[in-house]
Amino acid sequence: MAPLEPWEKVLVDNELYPETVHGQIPCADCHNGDSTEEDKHVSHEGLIPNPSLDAEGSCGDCHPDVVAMNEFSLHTNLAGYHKVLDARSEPEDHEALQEMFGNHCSSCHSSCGECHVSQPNSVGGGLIDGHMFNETPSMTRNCTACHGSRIGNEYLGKHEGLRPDVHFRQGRMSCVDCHTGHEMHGQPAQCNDCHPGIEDSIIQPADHRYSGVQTPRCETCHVPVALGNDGIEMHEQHSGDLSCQVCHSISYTSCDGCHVAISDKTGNPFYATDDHYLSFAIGKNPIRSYDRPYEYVTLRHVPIARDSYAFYGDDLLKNFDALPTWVYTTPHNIQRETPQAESCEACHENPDWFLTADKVHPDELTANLPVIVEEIPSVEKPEISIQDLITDPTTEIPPAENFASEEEETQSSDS
Amino acid sequence: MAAPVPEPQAVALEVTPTEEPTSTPVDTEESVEPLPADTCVDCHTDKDLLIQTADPEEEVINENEGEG
Repeated sequence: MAPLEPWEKVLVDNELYPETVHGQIPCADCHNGDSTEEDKHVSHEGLIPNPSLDAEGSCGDCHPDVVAMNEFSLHTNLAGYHKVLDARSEPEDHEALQEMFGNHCSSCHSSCGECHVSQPNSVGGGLIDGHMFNETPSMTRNCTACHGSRIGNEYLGKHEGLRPDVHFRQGRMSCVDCHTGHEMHGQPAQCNDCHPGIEDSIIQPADHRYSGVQTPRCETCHVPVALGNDGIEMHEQHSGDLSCQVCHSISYTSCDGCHVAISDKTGNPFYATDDHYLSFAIGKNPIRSYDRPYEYVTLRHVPIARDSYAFYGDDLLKNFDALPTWVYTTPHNIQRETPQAESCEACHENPDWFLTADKVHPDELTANLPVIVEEIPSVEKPEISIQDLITDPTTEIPPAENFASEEEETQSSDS
Repeated sequence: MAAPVPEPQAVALEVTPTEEPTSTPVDTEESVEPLPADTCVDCHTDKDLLIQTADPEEEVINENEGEG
């Protein structure tokens, strides 16, 4: 993605923009400043470059329903970061971590404008379409501008030798085809706030990208898979046991050891990661729940280290082992056919694809105990599959082993 | 013997009296307040002007290492 030129960042489309609803609003109503002054510096006094940082003040009058949800949006509240930082630390260290967060992490906070008008400030900001308000954010200028090093590269096939996600390659789908505005804008706990119904329904707002109701989910579109009647034996065998990505994703990026600090030279915050690499790791599901019932899932290493925030204090992550460093992940590089899904043996007899203890850094073994695979699952092929019965209902079902018949049990108890 | 031709008679024209001019002149057009100047649009829709008036680009030293 080529960077925007300085003039591009502030150029307004003189033909199209005035014809829009937003184009009827005087500039100063949102951006402040003085629209009667010809001198640039005078007219820019008090200028608000990103008025939608105050969503309620700038967008709420016309979009009250969306703005009302804004506080629940993970893009706004960054709750996922706070959740994992809090879990790995003690309250006494939260002040130092908050300073760290403000310097290094809060730039991920996105305003309405950074999705619908401009590109995110974290990648330089600026208008991407002559100040036109786009209901659908741009995949490259908005979504993957931030979600680029992992999701963007995987989805668009930017890793050498690895194909793009089939949803992009063949489906020509963009992010919003799965990740709707409803998900992005956030939702309150009480469903009846927007969806009047008979019964009260409470679904807690997501406090992490992988919390709560799974949305989006593959089965929403791939219904025969969900129903178990697509004729694919592996779906029948592993339905519910494995996340879809275990069989259908390919190698994806993992990162090690991110350390943050303020530069002595420039006074600017910066980060440095020890390493990043392509990996594929199947492990135990660390967040197994009703919404994510899988026993095995794909895991990605996140670049958290015990001394990641050493610049801000000693031992700020006293509970470092509270969470795994190999985390639940949904790589966006889905393929119909993958090496691990060629056959049962291709996966079950290949320990390289499983996160075993030898692949975990010794300092992180304790943290990753919940996800490490101690014993590679073996292949247990049933003699008769459900598909066989569907094909030929007269198929003779062999007797169950290790269970005595009722008559045999009665005889043994009498003797 | 031919029928008599009626004599043309003078017909009094109705004259609408003109109004006396009033002491206060009445404007024939409504006064229009001039539109407030909007230098924002004048400048921000002119690519060449934006290039001319752009602040000098500051060199950004990227000290980050590795994937973000």
